Order: sequence, then structure tokens, then C-alpha cells
Amino acid sequence: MAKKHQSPVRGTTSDGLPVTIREVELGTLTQLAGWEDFDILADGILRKQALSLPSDCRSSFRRGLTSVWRIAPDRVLVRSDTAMNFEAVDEIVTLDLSHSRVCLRLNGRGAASLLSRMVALDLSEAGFPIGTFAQTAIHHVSVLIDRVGMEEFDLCIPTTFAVSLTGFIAEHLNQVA
Amino acid sequence: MLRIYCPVCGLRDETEFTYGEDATVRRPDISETDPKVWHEYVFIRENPRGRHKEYWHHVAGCRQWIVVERDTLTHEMFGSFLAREVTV
Repeated sequence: MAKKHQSPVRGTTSDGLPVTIREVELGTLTQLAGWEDFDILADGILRKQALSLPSDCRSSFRRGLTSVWRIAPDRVLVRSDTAMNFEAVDEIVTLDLSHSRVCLRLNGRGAASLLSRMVALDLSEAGFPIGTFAQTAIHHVSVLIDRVGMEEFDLCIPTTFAVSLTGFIAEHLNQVA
Repeated sequence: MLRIYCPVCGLRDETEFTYGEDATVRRPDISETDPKVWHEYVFIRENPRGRHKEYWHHVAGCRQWIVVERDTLTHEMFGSFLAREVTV
């Protein structure tokens, strides 16, 4: 059974850089999915909430506490602090995924260094600038990594893997009390 | 380790993908009644040496099916496309 770590977990990477791992409030997570006219329809729905459909699947759109991630050509995830009432459109399917994900925040000078031990992505400032996100896998579990600051990453991980994946990430740190 | 270019996510490790199948196989017409044709469609595959088109699923990323053209001998990649956008 996975060891349950008390949040927040504080420690240093093997190169001595500090990192804090803590679970933060995810808020509301809504998926919009569609078919042929997805770009036009989804953008129309998002604009009524003063949001916008990102043109690519790597850049986050942010307004206040709301983030929009285009996770596939015809799918977006919207993370918001409160539930949003998206306009009902026949060709767009809206799905509340708030309970399916947990948000882990990695913060500190060693955050990128810690992550780079677990994912095969270029996490340098040039390769993964603030406002960039990626869907990848940590320990074979699908995660969404969002760079929210130079030394801060939010990880959306499946709720059922929250304990084990937090433990897996924490095991990469020299933990301090 | 193969590195596969996903048209949506960019260059990623093979571990993020699941191999689908030979992308050159075509399903027989649904009215086909010869069992041999269906047997070959379901079970018989070439084992080509050289350039070959394959379906891969980016299961840990954007969940899209892509067609990858790869040299089975050298693993050189020649291109990858969203499966729904190509006719192979």
C-alpha cells in the first residue's frame, strides 16, 4: 500500500534545491468536446464567459483564476474557481470532471528539476515557459502539467492516483520535517 | 527508446504511446462473403523491412490516433499525421 504523505511535503532535490509539494483546491473542471465545427462553437461558448479558445494544445489561456487548456483538437478543459454556466449547444458536450482530478502544486527552486526526474519533457525556461502546459505520464499515470510560475507547476492527476502519485513524487525528494 | 512526433503535443517518448496496428491494412467490403478474405484481414500481417505506416495512440497525451511512417530497420521517422486527416 502506498505511503500517505502529510501535505505539504517539503524537501530538496539531489542537487540541493528546495521543493514543496502540496495539494491545492482544484475548483471546477469542465470539459467541452465536439466534432467538426468545434473551433467556432467552443470559441463562441468560451467568449460568453470572457474566455478564449487557445489556438494550440500547448498554451494555456488564463483569466484571473480560470485556465483553459486545449487538450486535443476538439476538446478543452476549463479550470475555474467557481462553476461556470456554459451555454448549451447541440454539437458541444459539456462534462463536469471536477471530482476526477486532484491538483498538486510543486513550488520552489527545484520544482523543474524534480519534475524532470519523472517526465521526459524539456522543462527549461525556454522549452517550457510560463503559460505552457503538457499532458504526459508520471509513473505511467496520465497527468496534465501546467507551468504557472517560473518555479511553480500545477499537476492535475487522476483522483484515484492522488495518494500513490504524491508518494511517488515525494520519494524523489530528500524530505525535511 | 523511440521518440515519436505527435502533431498535437510535439516530440514525446514512445512510452506515452500505444501501438495500434498496421495502417496500410484495409477492411474488406462488408458484403464480402469469402472467409479467406476476412481471415487475412483479421490475422495475416506482413512483417515489412523498411518504411512502413503504423497507427499509434497517444494515450498519455492528447488521446489522438496518429499515423507514423517509420523505418522498421533503422527506426528513422519520416512523418506523423492525425489519423483522421490522412488517407493511407
